[in-house]
Amino acid sequence: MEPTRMKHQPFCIIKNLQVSFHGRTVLQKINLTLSDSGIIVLVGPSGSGKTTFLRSLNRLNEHYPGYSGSGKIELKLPGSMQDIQDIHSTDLEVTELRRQVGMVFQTPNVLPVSIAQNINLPLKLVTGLDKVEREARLIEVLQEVHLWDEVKDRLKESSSRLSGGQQQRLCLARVLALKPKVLLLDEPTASLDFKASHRIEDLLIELQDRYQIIAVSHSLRQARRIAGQILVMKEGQIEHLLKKEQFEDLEMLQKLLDEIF
Amino acid sequence: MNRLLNFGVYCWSWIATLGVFLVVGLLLSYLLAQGLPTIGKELFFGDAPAWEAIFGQVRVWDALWPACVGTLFLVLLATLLAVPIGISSGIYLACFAPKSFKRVLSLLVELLAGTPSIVMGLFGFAFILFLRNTFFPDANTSLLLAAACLALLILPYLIFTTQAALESLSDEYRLIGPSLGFSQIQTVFHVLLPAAGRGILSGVVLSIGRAAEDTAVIMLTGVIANAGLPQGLFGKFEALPFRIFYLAAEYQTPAELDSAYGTALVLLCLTGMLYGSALALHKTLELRWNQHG
Amino acid sequence: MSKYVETLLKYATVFSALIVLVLFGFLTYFTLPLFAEGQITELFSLHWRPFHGEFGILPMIAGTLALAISALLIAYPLGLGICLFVHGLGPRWLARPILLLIHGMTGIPTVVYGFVAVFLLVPLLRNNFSHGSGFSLLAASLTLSILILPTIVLLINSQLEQIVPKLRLTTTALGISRIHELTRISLPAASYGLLAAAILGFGRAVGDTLIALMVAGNAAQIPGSAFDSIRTLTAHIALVVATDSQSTTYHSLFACGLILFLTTASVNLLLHRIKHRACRETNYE
Repeated sequence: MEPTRMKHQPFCIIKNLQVSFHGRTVLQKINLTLSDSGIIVLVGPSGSGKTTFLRSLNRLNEHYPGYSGSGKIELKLPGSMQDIQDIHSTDLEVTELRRQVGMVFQTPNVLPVSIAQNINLPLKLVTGLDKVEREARLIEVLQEVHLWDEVKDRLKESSSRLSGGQQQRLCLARVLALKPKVLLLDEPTASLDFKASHRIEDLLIELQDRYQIIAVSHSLRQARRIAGQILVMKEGQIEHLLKKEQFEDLEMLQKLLDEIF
Repeated sequence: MNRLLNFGVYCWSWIATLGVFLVVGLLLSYLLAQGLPTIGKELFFGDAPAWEAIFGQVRVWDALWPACVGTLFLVLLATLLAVPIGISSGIYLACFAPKSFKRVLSLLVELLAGTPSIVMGLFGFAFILFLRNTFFPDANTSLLLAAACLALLILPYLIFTTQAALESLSDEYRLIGPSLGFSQIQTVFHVLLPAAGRGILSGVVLSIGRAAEDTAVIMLTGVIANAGLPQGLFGKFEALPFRIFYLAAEYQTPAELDSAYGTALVLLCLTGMLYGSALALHKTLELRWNQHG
Repeated sequence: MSKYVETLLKYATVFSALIVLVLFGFLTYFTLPLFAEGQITELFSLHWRPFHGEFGILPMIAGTLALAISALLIAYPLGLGICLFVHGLGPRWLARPILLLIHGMTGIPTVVYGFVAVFLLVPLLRNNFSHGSGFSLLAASLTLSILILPTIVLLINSQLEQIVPKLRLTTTALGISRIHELTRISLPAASYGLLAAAILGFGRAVGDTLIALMVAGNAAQIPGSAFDSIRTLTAHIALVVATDSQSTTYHSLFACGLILFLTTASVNLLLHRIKHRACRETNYE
């Protein structure tokens, strides 16, 4: 939609990223340059540090006890590349970073309020838009995730009455309403059935031109379907960065993964 | 030998359970049998006409009404004093306190929680002695003092239940706020507290029950047997649990003894209701979170 | 703005935490004159005769210890038995109702336990044993044991609930009988809970006022048998304040309060340490 994003430009440069909890290293010495070519999907065995890697991009790891980290992460946000690891940076407050780097979790985490409030509340607290603008934004994002037709008559109802797939799309809409540049998705379909998963995947493919999406996935099938690049992680390190042509052939990919695991 | 021991343990577990079951059953049925026939207008208002007694137009003698009103005021005041401080402290400990600071504060609150209620009453009594020796020679024990001491008694319960309700939220749920760019304050008030609300409410109800039943604190801080309706914050007052204690020790006539049974039953129903609803609030809370996975 | 809110919350917490220090300060301040006037030795004498100028509180300390220990000795085995019943020795469908009953017992006011004891238990003891009025150490410890029972059961139970489900499948697969599993594996694994329950139960028993006051008889003497009337520190405070004696007795009163406070405070510090150790060990697993 917006032609502002340049294809194949680096948008994230990571140097010597190291993260540990309670002295146990989870990510070790990651050096990586990610460029802009479609959805980036992280795969790897459980405990390989996928979620931690994702959370270091919006500094959410700092909310866990025993966190310590070092290294440098630069992200291309409006303006120029910015060093997001620098905690004392005055240019980019952590709350502003998290607004621009949105995140959706494994299980749909709706707030215990109405459907409309789920989107309205963060808008009110974080952006300071007025009521009319918020109303417009609400409709816009609900349409963007194809939820509008399903909920337009019951916006005042409790969001806990939606199905799992609907709740997850609501969470996605909630994040999109804040107009992020980057979207982090932590196994967004792990708790959904096949049909609802498929729906979310279609949605992500649709959104990939408007947002830089980085997703953790537990399914190779899903990764191949949506990814522009696949990042393979193992024991806290990046083992491979696979381009589209490298994983299009299923047999070749499986052979490669068999070697790694 | 080993088998004999096992059999002994097995028998003991049955004896203990059935024994306690029987004792509690006996206690409840005894109270019901003795107390139920006394429940009526007479128990609450004595000889006084009910409506005029309720509005305090006539003095009620030898009946429950002044003690009911006394307990109501006492509990309301104590809750009013303790709830804001208790919930604030619980929130701070769960969401803001730095680790080492939290450890010290929690330990001190635990010490307060362990303090016997008679010592809390003695503290109030000492405070009055202190006031008499210094600024106010006329200071005396009163409704306000008793309520303040009760507030201290229930304060730790409120802190613990608030803290536990907030800390039992799932890790992912706690991350919603930060992931949307909320500040910590915004996360706490708009995301965490609404979800922990029922747990906190059950803590409030529980501490109301605790305040309503405690006798030792108010004994030293202003309750007396025949005060009538409470005459303001600085007056003496009556209370249900104290009335039970007093009548058990000092009853003169069979009618007074009957009244004591009635009072015990009324208090039991009151605290039973409060504990029951606290438990129900807590249970539905657990259920809700279990369903959310 | 949000900074103010956080500061406000912080002050509330500091207030809640400092209260206990203020309380300690008050009790100490009012006990100090005893030290200054050299009456501290008189305090630890055997006789409480305020009108003869004797303020010994040793009988009350002895009474408190006798009552708390005997109540614990009755309640603890009972509590343990109930926990075993709930976790496998009794029928499964009874486990939840029994736990609910125990939960419900915490909602019964102390004064109601005391009241029923006065009119059911005390006459029973009076009529069946030819020892005095029935108001006695025995009556009080029986009643008090019922009061502290839920504390003990719920604490042990909460730990068994974490241990038993993890073990059950393994032990059943190995062919270990339920009773062996509980007594040889689960209970030893719950040792922190067992210890904490005993300590907390003791603390509860020491701090209780109403039951001692209503059914123990309140004679200030060293108990010689279970049928003797005793007076605890807690009951002593209540009685002396109620009779409003001359102010010289007050100081000894605050000494009683201080002893009670220090006892329950040490109980809680001990519990705190145990809990800490238990937490650390489970973390290392």
